[in-house]
Order: sequence, then C-alpha cells, then structure tokens
Amino acid sequence: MNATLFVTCLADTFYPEAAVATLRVLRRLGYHVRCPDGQTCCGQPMFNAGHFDQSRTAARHFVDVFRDAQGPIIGPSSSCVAMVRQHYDRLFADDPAYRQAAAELAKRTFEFSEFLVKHVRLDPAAMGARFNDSVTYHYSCHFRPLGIVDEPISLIQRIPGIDYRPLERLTQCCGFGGTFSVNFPHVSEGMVRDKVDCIRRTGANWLIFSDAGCAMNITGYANRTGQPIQAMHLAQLIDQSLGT
Amino acid sequence: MAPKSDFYSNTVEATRKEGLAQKLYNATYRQHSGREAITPELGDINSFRDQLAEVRTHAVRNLDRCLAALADNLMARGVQVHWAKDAEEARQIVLHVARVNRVSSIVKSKSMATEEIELNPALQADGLEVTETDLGEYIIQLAGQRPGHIVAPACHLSTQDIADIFREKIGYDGPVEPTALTMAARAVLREKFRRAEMGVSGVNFAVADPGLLAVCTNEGNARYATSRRIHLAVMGMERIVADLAGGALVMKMLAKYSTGQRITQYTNLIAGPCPSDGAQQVHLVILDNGRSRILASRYWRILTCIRCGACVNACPVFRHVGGQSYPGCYSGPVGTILLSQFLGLRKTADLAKACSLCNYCAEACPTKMPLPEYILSLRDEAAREGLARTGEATAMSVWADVLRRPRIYRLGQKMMRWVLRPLSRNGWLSWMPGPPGNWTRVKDLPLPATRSFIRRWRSGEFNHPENADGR
Repeated sequence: MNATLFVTCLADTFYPEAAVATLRVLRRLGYHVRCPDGQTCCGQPMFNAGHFDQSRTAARHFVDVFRDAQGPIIGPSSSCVAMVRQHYDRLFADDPAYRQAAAELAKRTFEFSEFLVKHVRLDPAAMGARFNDSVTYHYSCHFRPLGIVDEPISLIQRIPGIDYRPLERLTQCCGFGGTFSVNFPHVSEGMVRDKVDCIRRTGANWLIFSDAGCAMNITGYANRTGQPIQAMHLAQLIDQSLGT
Repeated sequence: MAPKSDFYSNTVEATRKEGLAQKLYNATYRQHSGREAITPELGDINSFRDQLAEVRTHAVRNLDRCLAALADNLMARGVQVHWAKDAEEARQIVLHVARVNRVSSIVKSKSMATEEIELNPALQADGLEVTETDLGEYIIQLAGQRPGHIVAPACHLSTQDIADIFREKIGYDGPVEPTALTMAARAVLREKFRRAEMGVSGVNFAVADPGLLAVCTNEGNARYATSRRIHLAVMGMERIVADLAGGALVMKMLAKYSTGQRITQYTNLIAGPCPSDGAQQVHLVILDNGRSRILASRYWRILTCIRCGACVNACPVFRHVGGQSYPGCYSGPVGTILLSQFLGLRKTADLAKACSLCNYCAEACPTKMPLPEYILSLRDEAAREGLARTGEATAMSVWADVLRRPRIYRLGQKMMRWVLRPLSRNGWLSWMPGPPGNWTRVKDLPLPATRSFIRRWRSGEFNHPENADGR
C-alpha cells in the first residue's frame, strides 16, 4: 500500500514533529510512505489574500510535484487540504490541463483524521493505544468545507485511558485566518482570547490541534499573556498513544 | 501604507469597548445555537436549503417577470405601485405620498430597505414625526444610532444600557428589567399608533402570484403599522418568490434561521387596501438602488438572501466588531458583500479583509450563498485594483517565485531561522519588523524548528527498510 505525505509548509517549518508523527502512524498502518522532497506550499496564503496569480504559481508547482504521487495524499492540515480540494478548481478555471490534473489530485487528497476515520477506519483501542493524560481538542474551521464533523474527536475518545475534556464554543474560529491576523490584529486578538479562555476552562493538560496555523495563533497568544498551553498535533497524540 | 478606513478605526474602537464582545456574543450565540437546535426538526436540512436556494434563484433569475406579475396582481386590487431606481427616488416617493395625504405622523415597522435609503432623516427634515415601533428599532431610534444587526438591531446594548436610554429620552423611572422596560415602550408606542395617519413597513417577501406582501414580526407591531389609513411598504426588488409554495418555504426557513423559532409570531399577508377596517390606501415602493447592477455581476446570488441574519450570527468577526462598525446598515458576511456593491470596492476593501475565512457563514446560510467565495473574489478584485496593503502584491510575487524553486525555498527557511533566532527568547519571538509586527504586537510567534521536516527527510533520518529509496 502506497501513501504520499503532503507535509504542508507550516508543519514543515514550525511543527516538523506533526509531519514525523503522520509518517510514523501511516507506516504503522502498513503504508509505504513517500514524500516528494520538491514540495513547498500549496499557495493558500496568497489565495486567501486575494493574490490569485501568485497563488496559481505555487499551485502549479504543487500539481507538478504531486501528479505522479502514489496512493492517497495525506496532509496534517485541514486548510491546506481544503485549498487543494475546494479552491484549485477555481484557480485553474482557465487552464484545462492543470484543472484536470488538480481534480485528479483533489479526489485522493485527505486530511489526516479524515483519512484515519473514513478510509482506514482506525480503532486506536484495537491497536493497543493508551494515553494517560487530559486533553482538549481545537476544531479547525477548514473542516467545514471538507465535511469533517467529529472525526478527530471520535478518534481521541476511543483512545483508552485518555481524559477528553470537551471545549466550549468548539466550532468558533480561533482568529488565525492567515493575512487576517495581520490586517486586523485587534479583532484576531479578541477571537483568540475567547479561544484561550475556553481552552483554559477545560483544565486539560494538552491541546490537540489539526492545523499548524491555529496552533501558532493559540499558543502564541497564550505564551504572550503568560498562560502557556502545551499543544501537539492529533498525529502526535495518536503516535504517542501507540507507544514505540 | 494607505490611510486606515473608518471601518478599520471603528473596529479598533469596538474591540476596546468594555463588555461589547460579551453582549454581541450573548445575542448572536443565542440565535445561532437556536438555529442549530431547531433546524434538525426539518429532517434533511440540506434538501430544504437546496429547495430554498432553488426557489430564490428562480425568482432572481426571472425577476422581470416576477415583478411584473406582482405589480399587475397588486394593482388589480387597488395597490399603488411605485418604482424607485435609487434611494433619492424612493425617499421622494414616500415624501410625496405623505404630503398629498396631509400626513403629520408616521409609524414604522422594522425595515432594512428603509434603513438602506435613510428614510427617517428625510421624513423628519420635512417636518414629519416618525416613530419606529419594533422594540429594538425604537431603542435605537431613541439612542440616535443605526441598527447594529439586521434582525436584532439593539443587540449591542444591555438591559442597563436600554434603561439609561429610556431614562434620558422618555423619563423612565422603573426598574432595570426587560418586562418593565417593554411596558414603558408599549405605553408610548400605543399612543403613537393611535395618532399616526400612515404606516411604513418593509416586505419580508412578496409573492408574485397571486400578488401578496408578507410582513413577519414577533411583536405584532406591523399589524398596527399596516392598518393605518395609509400603508406604504418599501421592498428591495429582489425580495420576491414566484408562488405561494415558495412563500411557504421562505416562511418555514426564515424564522428558524433568524431566531431559532418554528415560525414568527405574526405573519401579515397583505393583498391590497381594506376600506372596512384597515388601510384605505396601500402603496408599494419597489427599490432597485444598485440591485440591477448586482444581478449582472458575479455576486448575483447575494440577491437570494432572505435577511435571516444567520450568517451574521455565525460570524466570529461580527461578534467582536458589531454592526455599527460597518459603513452602512448591513453588517457581517452578507453586509460585506452588499455594502461592497452598494458603496464600491474603493470605500469598502477593508470589509472583505476583516474575515478569517472560517466558512461558518456558508454553513449557516439557508440559501447556500457562496459567501466565503464572494469574500475571496472581493479580495481578488481589491488586489487587482491595487487596494491591498502596500508591497503586499510584490511580497506575494517574490514568495510565489520562491515556492516553485524548492532549493531556494529550503535555503530561505534556513536563513529565516538564522535571522530570527537572535531575536527570540525560549523559542518565541515577541517582536518582528514590518507587517508581521502586527502579529507580534498581540501574540508571540514560535521560532521555526531547527531543521525542517523536508531537510530531515532528505538527510535520511526516516529511512526505513521498506523505504530503501528514502523518497
């Protein structure tokens, strides 16, 4: 069984351990994992800022790098996967060749938890998973366009020993939003303050996340305000719970 | 850098207002969770949204025919139909109707179309007494403000705020308590209703065939307003459905999506004048005011909006900035699109930037309007018209160019860490130059990892017996 790792630029740069864990979990499941080392970024930052031409440059590179990828393409980030699945079609509206190649890639590009729940039907307990600590979970906004609802939480809840603490205002945005956080820092601050308050009220020792952008935003604000939050990617939680 | 827009400054001020975010949260979240709780009653909610989108799209796509049928059917029953191409024409029509009928006092039920054309100041300038009779609108009118939400105009005010306004404006001296405050407003409004010769209302939706105007309220005030001697309704020209089945569907969805109710308390279906015990004259003003232009644009589906406010309630940005930050009476996601079209992109480019693209509005919208896609289109237009932050387009071009050269990308990553490391403490950056400095003004930024994943992969760190090729 082949699978291809879509590392994503933020995980590559800021959270390489999330990509390492994704790789390790996929290998445990018996996948022969490849990672095209020419990959950079899907073009989401430019796209979200409205610079479609620049985004197209990056997106073309993505398609070129991944077009020969084997098996499902799995990324530890919902927003990057949503970029490929939701927006490449629009970006390549006037470029039939790339549009078709992108549509083919979109069909087999998956977010990590989505892949484990919907395709692998992973049962952590059956694999001997165990995690003896309290966690809460941050829902990524880009799960919405991907149709992901409680897949990540259902994975967490099925890990024996885990103390899962539900988060109030679960589906409310943390205030990252790419250039939004730089263009409207005061609004972004208000949003992340709400999020950090809710996380702290759970009393959980760990924040589990699915998107590096959200993690940078939440832990960055928590750190600035003197209330640091320990965070790890869902892939790291699954990997750790499965032991070495 | 371009000077900050009024909208931007308003959002800064709003985020500094003690308690505003909490008030907005309480109001919008109640409606939002009400919607999320009640819509499952419909069963397959997605199929209802598809049906509603179909009903509204059909009407908007056949607007000429629907409006002609509506006008014909209403005129056959004696309704006087007026067509207004812009706000000024609409105001003049209302003033004319008031003048020829020697009206001195007008009561209004809630109407966003009349807010859009800024009707009240024009009527008052002509010496007419105008009273808003929706409780929220009445509070806002007393306070001299603009509605802060398309459905809940006073949602940015607390009970205490309202009591303070009533004390100052109508000599209220009762307790700070909703029922008592409502009774005080009721006493004033009853008298206004009795005296008014004319009632002005909006139209929640019109039914082309058989020709009806639907006005929905929870307070019953529209019944009084529409039964004065003269009733004048102002409707945005897109607020129409072809037939009664479509109207029934809008009614079914509107209350659920706006306030989480099964149906609004009062629904008036107005067919024409009712000389025995209602309005002797009924006037309908059909307002274009830029809608034809929207219909011809890529944003045309915004005309399928039923003004339920579900997108506003779902919007996390709205919950922090409030409706009064916006440069018009519409706010939140739908307001961003409408105002950009009504006022032009140059004046409103900042509105589309004030969005984290969380996609909640798209999930909330009962007619499935592609709101985030529209916001992206506005950003695209703004970038092409040079309205983005100075240097942003150039920076993005350089970045994109780096992204298609993996070796340069990896080198850039390494250099970034090398440059930033001396500025960091314990793996965090608290200061950055340029636009990233807006981030570090309010949050720390993690330092890039010592070695990127791709670098580690290339070094063979993850080589595996099964992955002998390492790639």
